[in-house]
Amino acid sequence: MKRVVINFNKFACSEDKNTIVKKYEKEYINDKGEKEEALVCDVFLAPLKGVRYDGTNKEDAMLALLGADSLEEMREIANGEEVMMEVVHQLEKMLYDDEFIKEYQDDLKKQAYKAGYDEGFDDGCFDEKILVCIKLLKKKFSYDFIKDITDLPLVKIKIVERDFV
Amino acid sequence: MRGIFDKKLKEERNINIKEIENNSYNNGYDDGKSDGEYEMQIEIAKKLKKANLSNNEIVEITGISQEVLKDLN
Repeated sequence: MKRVVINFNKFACSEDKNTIVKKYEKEYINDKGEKEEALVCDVFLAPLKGVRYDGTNKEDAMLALLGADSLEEMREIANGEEVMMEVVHQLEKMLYDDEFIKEYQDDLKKQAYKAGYDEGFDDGCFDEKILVCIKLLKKKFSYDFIKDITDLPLVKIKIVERDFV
Repeated sequence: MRGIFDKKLKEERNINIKEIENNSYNNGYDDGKSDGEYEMQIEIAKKLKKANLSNNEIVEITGISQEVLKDLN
């Protein structure tokens, strides 16, 4: 997965008063010393000109909470800061909220089921087309006829013929 | 943040979200695949019928039953 880096108001802006978003790819060295590609988004928010997120202020720390790997790391980032500690506390509380967890699981189950169903449906349609294509090829129907019936492209029909008939 | 929550659920509540998602995905996949196959059998059978193939040939090619074929428009 490609890393995405978002910079807020970090680049100098010209006379343009509008919000600007620049996207580009950049190579960087990760923690393991390996080269990796990152998608960088420089965002200049005109109404917040002068507000600079450079890793030294509270807003940066709050954003860093999103990137933490554990509650312990979140606690370290929060460093006693009231609002951020509340986020950590609420997360901990949610872990023992059975009603929430049931809803959370149900929601994820539904989403996963739908994602699986959609992919399965497409695969099922495709597999059936291939199966019919094989049968029609064996019965010596013309390519044009098979193309009309299955909606498969000619090149695919010929591959099926080569590999399965 | 969801990653942290899921990890903690596994560690502290023994609830494996990844496994739950995978099971649901697989159930959905199986159901979807079977529905997709059936939908396509019906769609192809209709086309073959329009192309004036015999009922026996349509049944042989698509795998649908004579009863289902009779009900097709």
